[in-house]
This record gives sequence, C-alpha cells and structure tokens, in this order.
Amino acid sequence: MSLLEIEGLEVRHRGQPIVAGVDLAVEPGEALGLAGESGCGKTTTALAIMKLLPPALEPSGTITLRPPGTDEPVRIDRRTERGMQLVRWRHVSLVFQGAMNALDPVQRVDRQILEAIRLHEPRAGKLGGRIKELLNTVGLTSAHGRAYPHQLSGGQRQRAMIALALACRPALVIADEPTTALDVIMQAQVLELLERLRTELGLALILISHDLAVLAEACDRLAVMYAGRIVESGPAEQVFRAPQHPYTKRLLDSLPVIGGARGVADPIPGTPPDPHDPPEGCTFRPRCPYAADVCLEEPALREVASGQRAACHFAPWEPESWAVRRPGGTP
Amino acid sequence: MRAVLATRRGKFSFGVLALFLFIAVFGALIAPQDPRASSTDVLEGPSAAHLLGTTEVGSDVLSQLLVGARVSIVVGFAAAVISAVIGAAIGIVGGYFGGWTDRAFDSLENWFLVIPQLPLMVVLARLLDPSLTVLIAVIGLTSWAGTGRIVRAQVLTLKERAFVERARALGASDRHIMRVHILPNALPLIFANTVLIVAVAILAEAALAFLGLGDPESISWGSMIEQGFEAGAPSAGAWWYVVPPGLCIALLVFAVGLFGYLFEQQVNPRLQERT
Repeated sequence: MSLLEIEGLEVRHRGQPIVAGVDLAVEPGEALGLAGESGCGKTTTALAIMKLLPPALEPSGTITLRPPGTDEPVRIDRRTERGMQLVRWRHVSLVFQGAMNALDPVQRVDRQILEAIRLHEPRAGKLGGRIKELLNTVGLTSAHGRAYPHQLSGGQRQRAMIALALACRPALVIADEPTTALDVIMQAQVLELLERLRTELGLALILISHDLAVLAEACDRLAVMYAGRIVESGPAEQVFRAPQHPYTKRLLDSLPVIGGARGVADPIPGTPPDPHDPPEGCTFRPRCPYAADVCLEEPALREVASGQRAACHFAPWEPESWAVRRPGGTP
Repeated sequence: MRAVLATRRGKFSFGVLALFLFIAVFGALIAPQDPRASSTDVLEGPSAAHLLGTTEVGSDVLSQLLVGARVSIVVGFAAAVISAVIGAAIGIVGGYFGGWTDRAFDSLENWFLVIPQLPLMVVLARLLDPSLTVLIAVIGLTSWAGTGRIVRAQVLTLKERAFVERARALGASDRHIMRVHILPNALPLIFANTVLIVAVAILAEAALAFLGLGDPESISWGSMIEQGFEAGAPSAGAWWYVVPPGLCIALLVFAVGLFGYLFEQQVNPRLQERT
C-alpha cells in the first residue's frame, strides 16, 4: 500500500488548470523526485498535498495518505481546515522553498521546534533532550538552537528548517527546492543529510527541484512535470540515462556537464505555455524540435519501457533516434 | 532602543521621562508640604517657604506639582495601554482575516478617526461619574483608531511572509498564528505607537481636567490649571500658580513625543532615513 496516493489531481485558477491530471504515488521510505521548470506546478502540487493552496486555486481529485500505525486512510482532499491541522506536520511536513524566510525572525530556533512539537503533543513533558537530538541529527548544536534565525548562515538555517520538519517524526517530508539558495558545497551537504535521514529514519521524501541531476542522484523515482502535467515518470536512473520524452531530453541537455567538453549550454528555446491560453494538443509542442502533425492530439501518459511512462506519441525513443529523427517527421 | 539612546535627542527625552517617572513614584514623599493644607499665605509669590508660591487657599504649589505628576502620568500611560490593546487587537484580527471582518473594523476606525476626539471625550466623561478609572477608560476608548490602522497595515505584510505559511503548515490555528507569530513581529511598531499615544493621553487628561471633568478628588496638573483659572490667578498676576503645571505638561508631552518619534523611526521601515 502506498503511503501517499494522488489520483487525478487538478488545480484550477479562474477555471484554467494549473495542474492537470496528476497521478502520483509514494511508497513508505521512498524518495520521489519532482522535476520541472519554474511555474510547471511542482510547488502547487506540494501545497495541494498539505492543503495549503491559496484561496484563488481550486483543487479537485483525490489525495489519500496512509500514515503508518493507523488503519484509517486520510482523505486529504475531504478534510476540513480543522481536520488538516491534525495531519499537517504530524504526518506530512514541508521544507519550504527559501527556508530562510520560513523561520520566524523574532523567535529562537529551538522555540520554533518546540512550537511544532507542542502543537501536536500538547501534553508532552520536557522536550529539551528531543530538541537537542533533532538539532544534532542535522549537524547543529544546542547553541545554534538558542540563536535567532538571522544569526545563522544560510546552510545552518536550512538545516534548522529540516530539523523542524522532522520534529513530529512525520512519515513523509516534502522538500521544495531545499538547496536552491545554497552554494554547491552546502547543496551537497544538505542532499547528503536528506539521504542519510531517509535511510536512518525510514521516512519517505518528495524532493522538488528544477535540477534533474540532483534529483537523479538523491531519488529512487522521478516524475517530470511540464505545464501542470506529468510528462514522464520512472526509476530515477532509467529516466536520467534514457529519457523517453523530448522535454526530459532537452532538460538534461541543458545541464552543463562537469568535466565534459567546454561548450555553450543548450537551453530549451521559448517559454512554458500560458495556463490561461494553452496550446492545442501536446503542451510541449511549440517548443519541441520533434513536433509533428500528430502532436496536435494530446498524448496519453503510457508505459514505454519497464516502469517508465512518458506522454509522447514518438515514445519509446531509442538513444540514437534523438539525433536521427528530424523535426516534422512521422512517428 | 540602543539606537534611540545613542542620539542626543534620545538621551534628553529619556532623561526627562525618567525624571518625571521618578516624581510620579516618589512625588508624595519629596513634596515639602501637604499639598492640600491651607494657610493664611494666600496667592503668595515664590519665596523661601514656598518655592513656587501658594494657591488661593494658601496651599504649596510645588507640593501640588510634585503630587499631581502621578495622576497625569498614570492616566497618560494607562489610557495609552488600553488604546494599544484595543488598537492592536482590532488591527491584527482585521488585517489577518481580511474580508468583511476587516471592512467592519475599518468602518469603526473611520468613525473614531472622523469624530473629533475632545468633544467625544467630554460627552463620555460627562455621562459617567468623573473618577480616575472613568478618565482612563474614556481616553483609552477614544484614541485607539490610529494604532489600529498602523497595526493593520503591518499585519497585511506580515501575514504574507513565509514563516506564517510555515506556521500554518505546522498545523497551527489562526489564533495560534496571530498570537505567536503576528503579534511579536508587530510588537515594536505597537510599542512605538503607544508611546506617541501617551503624549496624546496626557494632553487629553489635562484638557478634561481643565474643563472640570477630571477626578475632583485628586490633584493633577490639569486640575491645578483649572483651579488657578477659577481663582483668577492669571488676571491676578499669580503666574506661579498656572505656569509650572503648564510647563510640566508641555515638557512631559514633548519628551514622550520625541522619544516615541525616535523609536518609531527605528521600527517603521517607511520612516527610516536612507543611508
């Protein structure tokens, strides 16, 4: 049984879908990577799981959470605000995008961790030891806990945020761009930390990033989003080595390769479609070098290799066909 | 706070405030004579026996001045605290929830801002029996609207900050978020505003007392001026009766106001000088 199951998630803004037909499942202890460029619906999906969408966005579809130790599955989409308060952080916590701003500037870090625990375990006794342990888990000391957020460095704040996310021992942690504002060294350390915590604490992780290389390394499975839809999903290694959707392929090509030939990065031309004026057929069609007439029909997400699904009429792609298949060809 | 005290104006205002607070606490002890005791020295000018002269019933003006400080300061601060509590509560709740709550509070604020404060206070004080508590309540209840406005504006920006969203993700209720996250972050602004209200409240107390709406039992600077006026002190040339309390009010209000402005300059981003 999956820990989290999302079926047919759709989020609309003024009637237009921002996220459309997203199906996702996260197994206990699994790391799922959610990739895609800015505005593709990654964060919206994350907020929908926490039921924290701003009022202008209307979600539909089912989101089911099965917290370990309880028989009753939690239907997040049906929960009331009051009911969600019991689920948030207790079962699912969120490491915010730009964690530095997600800490209250006028409260010491340990107070904020204490706040999280007290909200869900109001009758808990002394928590000093548990907070110290949490801080140690992420490589901080009690002295860091006594500091105000502005007295910590960016990396330390990110760690404090992760300690906060672990405070109530949730089964699932969603990390939204946890490394974006950090330098490369800190990025590696934070990713290593998340990886270690996952194996040690057995928690499931949804890692959201625009950086496919980071995700491929840290995750078991990958889902690539484009314009609010999942265009490709599958085992991380497989998706990274043999992408089956032109968007994934182009995303990988746009990454600079360390130690590779020095050249110009190969960006994807154009911009993501306006959700209020979506293109006909495949949403990637206007930017796709392989687009053909058949792409005017919306492709379904289907299995194209073992465990790997892609929404492209031309899939499965052979490694050599990326170079061979000319723009405008037939499938 | 430290930045305020680093300036000369800050040191001055803080010094004056500290002096008046000291007088308010110990005024009755350091007063040379019983402020109510009458004598045959009626409306005498300043002399060695009466440093600031005497009143129309022969009481010592200096003693009255020292004792009267307490009422002026207590009323000023207590009314300001009431006004801050109401203003902060209405500003936070309205700003946080928005919608019709906000509009309702906004109309209430408009109402209080538009109605001239002094006549409203006069009417309220007249309706109720004059006492210290009534005076404090009347001033406090009529002066919160400005604080409410400023706090609301601050809350509108605070509630969009990431840590408030995080608090909601923690599973916190609206009440918890307002109490634990919004209020502490708005506190410096509320404090600065309250100090400014203290100045207004001291003036209001003096004004009400001068109009004879003060507590008849107690001596305050306002009631001293009123008594002096009734006794014809100004026309009799007895300046020592009305000028000292007037000067004290002016000096205290000036110091409180200056301190408040300096503090507000530190905490209100819109008033910060560009460097």
